[in-house]
Order: sequence, then structure tokens, then C-alpha cells
Amino acid sequence: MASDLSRAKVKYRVKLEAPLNGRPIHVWLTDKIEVMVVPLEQGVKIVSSICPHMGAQLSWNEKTGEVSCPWHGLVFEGKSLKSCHPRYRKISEFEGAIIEGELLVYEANA
Amino acid sequence: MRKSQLHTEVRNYSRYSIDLVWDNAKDLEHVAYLHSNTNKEFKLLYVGQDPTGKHEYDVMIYRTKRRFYFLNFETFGFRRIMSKYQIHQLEYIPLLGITTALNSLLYRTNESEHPTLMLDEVIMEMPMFLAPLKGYFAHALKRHTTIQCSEDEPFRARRLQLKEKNIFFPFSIFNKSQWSELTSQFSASLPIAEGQDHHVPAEKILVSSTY
Repeated sequence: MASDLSRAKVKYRVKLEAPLNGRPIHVWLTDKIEVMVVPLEQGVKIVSSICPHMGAQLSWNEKTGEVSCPWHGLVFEGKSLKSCHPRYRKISEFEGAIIEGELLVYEANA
Repeated sequence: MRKSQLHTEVRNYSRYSIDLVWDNAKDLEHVAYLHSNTNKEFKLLYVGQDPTGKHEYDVMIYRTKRRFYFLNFETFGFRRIMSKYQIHQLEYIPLLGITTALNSLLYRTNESEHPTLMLDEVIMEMPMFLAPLKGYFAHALKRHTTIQCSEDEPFRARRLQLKEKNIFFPFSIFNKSQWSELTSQFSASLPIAEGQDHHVPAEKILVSSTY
């Protein structure tokens, strides 16, 4: 996996203001795309952090391993990133890594 | 039964524009999550919209649990959007026999730091035996609204952040009401148009039953 990623094309590159320190952080990749970077045992999980309902900043529930909305309680299952809500079914996931204080997000299907 | 009344007002100010505050005021479904200090749960019973109206909804009927300090009270509520920047709301607490009417208004101020005033006029009608607690209720109401107002400021900040990035998520109701969820399952209906004779033999009325 790591070697696959090292060959992947970087689509977004953002200098992080602070290290993760074991806690999720929110990063704007572009003016329209905000993601949440969740530290895992190996690597990071990068998911869209704009709630598709009204735009709340989604958060990571460490206990349940779910992504949830603080405004209306919309919950996305942590692995599939799918919800039970008929209108807001899924949020996006990105492939990437943090290397030397930079968040690198790779092109999809790279 | 004789009743006692409390008539008061609560004023809060926001750092955000009147339209951002209005955006948040229309949304009642967030109370159980964003205001978990003052609310426990929220259930939408009915949402009605005038098809020719300008608002996202016109009336809303709901059930919620309001938290006052360590006490939880189940309430049934009705709200109507009267006009842009004005909402009327009526809530009934069955346990205490209290009915509360709220006239919620937004005003633009001349202060750049706090451009929006949220004025809540409250009339609370209660049984006589609760009259000695009026002062407590007035204080609890003020505390309740002030806490909610401060908890709503990050909501408005986020909506402003998105707006400044030209990201728009218009207000929309999140949950399906119990009215539409349950009444859509009814299987019996009248076969002919309203106003006409609708005699139907009883054996031809079929209702599906499941347990």
C-alpha cells in the first residue's frame, strides 16, 4: 500500500499548521473541499468533512469509529462512509498521507 | 381551573447578520444535538407548507424534551413562521400543565459588533399552584435562551464561512415527520371524489394488517 501511494500522483498538497497528535484535524484542500484527517494505527483516513445536509463540519467519533454531524446527528459508518438517511447516503474518501508535515492527497484511481 | 400568567422578554445579540440568524432560527431539528445542555430529544410530528408560500415550511408540530437544570420535561409544540424574521411558537408541558407562547423576532441593530437582536417575547400560562415559582421560570427561560444563543453562534460562523467560499446549502428539513412516515402507510381510502355519495359495501373495504 505504501509503495502504491508513493507512486500515486499528488492532487492536493497542504502544509499542516500543527502535527496530528493523535487527534483528527480539518483541512481545506481547496476553497470548496474540506476534509477531516483521522489518524489511524497505520496512516491516516481522509474523508470529506462538509455535511451534505447543511454544511456542518463533520466530526470523528473515536468510540464508535463513525463520522457524525453535530447539528442534526447524521451518522456515516466509519468504513463504508454510508448513512441510513435516504437523501444523504455517502461522503467521499480520499487516498493520502502526511509526509514531512504536509498532507498529500492523491488522485483517485492513481 | 384558575391560571397564572408570566409575561416576559429575553434579548440576545448575535455577531452575525440577520439572515444568518434567521437561517438558524428556522431550524428547530438541531436542538437535540447542538443544544444537548437544554434539550434531550426532538421528534418531528408534522410539517406543513403552503404551496404558494415563500417559506421552506409554514407550520411544524413536534415533541421534545426540554432540560431545565437537572429536570427534563416532555413538551409538545407547534410553530408557525409568521413572516420573514418572525416565528410564533406554542409549547405545552403535560407534566406541569404549563403552556408557553413565544413570539420570536429578529431586528437589525446599528452595532457593528452585534448586528442582530433576537427578541423573544414569552407568555407562560401555568396552574395557580406554580405561581410562586414564576421567578424561577423567568430565570430558567432566560438562561435557556441565552445558552442556546451562544451555542448557535458557531452554527452561524460555519454558515458564514461556507457562504464566503460560495458554498451554499439551503435550509432544508432533515427528518421525515411522523405524519408522513405513518399516514403514508394507510391502505384504506375512499373510492370516489369528495362530496359524492360514497357508500361502499363493508366487505369491499380492505385494510392490510401486520403485527
